[in-house]
Amino acid sequence: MSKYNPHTQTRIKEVLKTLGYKSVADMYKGISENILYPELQTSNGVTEIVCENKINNLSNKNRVYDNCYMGAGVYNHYIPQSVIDVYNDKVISSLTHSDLVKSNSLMQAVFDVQKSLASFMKMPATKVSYQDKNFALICSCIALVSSERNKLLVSSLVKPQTKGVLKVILPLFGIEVEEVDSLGLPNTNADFIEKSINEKVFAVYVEQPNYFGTIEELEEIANITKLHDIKFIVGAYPTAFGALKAPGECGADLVVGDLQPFGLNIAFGGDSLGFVCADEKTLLAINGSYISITENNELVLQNNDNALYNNQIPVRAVITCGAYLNYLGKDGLKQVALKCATNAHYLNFALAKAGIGVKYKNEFFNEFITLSKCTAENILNALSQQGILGGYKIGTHEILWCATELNAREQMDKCAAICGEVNK
Amino acid sequence: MIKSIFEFQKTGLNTAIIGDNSIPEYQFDAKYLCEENGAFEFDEHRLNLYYSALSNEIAKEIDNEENFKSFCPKFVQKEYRGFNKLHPSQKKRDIQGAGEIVYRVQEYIKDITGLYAVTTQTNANFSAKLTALKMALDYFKEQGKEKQNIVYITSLAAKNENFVGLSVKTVTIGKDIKTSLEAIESAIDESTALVIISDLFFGGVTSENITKVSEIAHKNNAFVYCESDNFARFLSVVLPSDLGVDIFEFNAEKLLNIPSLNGFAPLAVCEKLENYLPQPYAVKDKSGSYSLLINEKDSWQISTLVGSINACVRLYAYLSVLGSDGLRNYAETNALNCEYLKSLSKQKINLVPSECDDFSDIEKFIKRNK
Repeated sequence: MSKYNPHTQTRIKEVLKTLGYKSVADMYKGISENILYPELQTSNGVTEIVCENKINNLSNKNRVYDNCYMGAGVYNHYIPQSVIDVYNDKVISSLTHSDLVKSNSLMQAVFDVQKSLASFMKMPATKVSYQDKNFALICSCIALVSSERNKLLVSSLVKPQTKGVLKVILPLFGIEVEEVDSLGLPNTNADFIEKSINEKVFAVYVEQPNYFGTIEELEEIANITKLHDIKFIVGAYPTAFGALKAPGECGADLVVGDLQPFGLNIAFGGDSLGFVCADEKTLLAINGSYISITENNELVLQNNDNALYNNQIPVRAVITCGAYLNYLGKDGLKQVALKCATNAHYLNFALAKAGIGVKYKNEFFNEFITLSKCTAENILNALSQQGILGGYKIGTHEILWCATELNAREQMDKCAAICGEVNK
Repeated sequence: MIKSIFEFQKTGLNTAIIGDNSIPEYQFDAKYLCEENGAFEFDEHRLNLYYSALSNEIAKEIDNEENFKSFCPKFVQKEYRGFNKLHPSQKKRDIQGAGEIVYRVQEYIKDITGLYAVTTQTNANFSAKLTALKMALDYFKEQGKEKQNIVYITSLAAKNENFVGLSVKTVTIGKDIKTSLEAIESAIDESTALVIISDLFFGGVTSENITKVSEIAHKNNAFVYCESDNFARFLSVVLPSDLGVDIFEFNAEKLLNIPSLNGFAPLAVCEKLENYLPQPYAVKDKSGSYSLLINEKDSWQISTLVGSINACVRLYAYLSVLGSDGLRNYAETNALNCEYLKSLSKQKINLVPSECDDFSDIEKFIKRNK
């Protein structure tokens, strides 16, 4: 059992006497006796060794695959040791939002990350104070909606989890969510978007790349939204913009995203950091803490006035993702992006050679869907038996594959060979 | 203070980080590609120096501030590959360890709060309150009741006019508790959905005030939501449910100093709200295996799967070594430190000593702040 107590019994007795208490329990005398010190089901504490063994056993019950082709919103990227060291730094790992007001150096570091990310997305400014992309998007919509315009158009090719959250949460804020069907096409069609626009629409939301991995024609959609004077919000997979045109270059008014691919583990989907990029005026209207700079070059932490909407800056995650951006830099980020794309296209080629063709011929970044003769379940089970985590099953015969810079040629060849065998 | 990182910039660098070049690079159509991405260039060695200096500077600046340190055992902060490298879309058979640890954390929180069900999807503040309000509104909708406001009870000045389409009535607790209670009573009515309390024991350590507030809230069919502020000294000493709390925001950082990437704060809820929880959450079936329950018909999510699995692991580790007796000792030490600080200080101090502070730390703090 682990008990930490900084006080000796002698000192405790002295202090109790000073405070006018006979015993420790006297401190709680204002609480009704019948509810004081309830009996808990929780057993007594165990030692550190026992606890660590327990957790190790639980960890070993999870099956982790080194050869992984699953994406669907959570991506397995390489994290350089330098970034891991920053994440594990004894000071940085203990920082919280409340430390920002105590340390100018910390504010400077967070401000620098905001600036780096804004530059990377080719947008004016950034906030990095959200739990994940969905929250960043929700807060953006709350800021943009008005009583006259309260409808958000969402492409049907947005990730299902995001659509699910939007359809449940945004109506609570009086925002209507309308899905624009792609009618079986793997790209969001700008004409379909235009047909759905009316006087109630305030914004269009599209993801780049989309759920199927296809690269959207963002400029075409941006032209439509500008024509109708509505906002164009792009949900970004940040890795892609090491090589692809950034949303800011394509006419996006707002960019939201999750920085998990930038130095955070996949961690069962739980390690995430949402961000929003926009012009400064729009950004300030969106709930979320922010480091800004005054005319006198002083850094200021801006929090929400409305405490219930409080979105604080998760400092450890921000510094870690900033470190990833910095350590890889311009050239490294481009290499990662191109490597992801190269590997995905190679995997596509290898699977096609094995008889499993791609479903859509449109250009994709690092995810694509295949259509097989046999069921997706059979393929994925066969791969699992060989220690390979296949793609994400999205239909009886359809799998969404993802490749990153971590996938080696031999591994992809092995994967394709197994798939080919099952699909015969 | 540290310089801006942009003073370490260097152009013309070519960082080779990708090893395997056996596959020829894929050639995109030029229309998709940027000429140059917007990232900056740095030298790895200088970055190492920068981050080392950053860490030292922050430590110095925070140490200079008059504040108390928080304590969390080092081994609690350890991360495990089996959780870090687990993908959320893996099958049930692959995630038994994750399922079990989330289940056990849910059970621990239910035990410590006395409440009925737990979701680990939420993070502190907006995420937790949004989830709580959605659950409450879903419940009232099914009951055929329409609610229009939230009552927010706080000791700090607050500017909250509305939240999620409901108007917010803020009641600021003053020195005169009797007047404050009267103000609370007049603020809560039949159209109140949620009464949010930031500090359960406002007005001192007495169950009378909070029980009064809970009674008024329940009489008006409103749910009582409680934040974790200043509750560390009451962990396992009293159950929030016994005080009439219906929804408790179990903020792991505020209660147990457990660091998390994003402010991990599971919500524990009363029985009435069990069916309205975001899904999935962990369940144990008759065969003893663990899964993440999703009831397709009514399910909704606020976040990915079960929120932060690493934070769940840390919470599980700390609660395992503390146990029920250790938790009691933790709370009592915390309470004793707070009482001692209050007795030595003539002014109200917002900083709270933690369970790791020695009495002499508190005495030094008072001396420095005279």
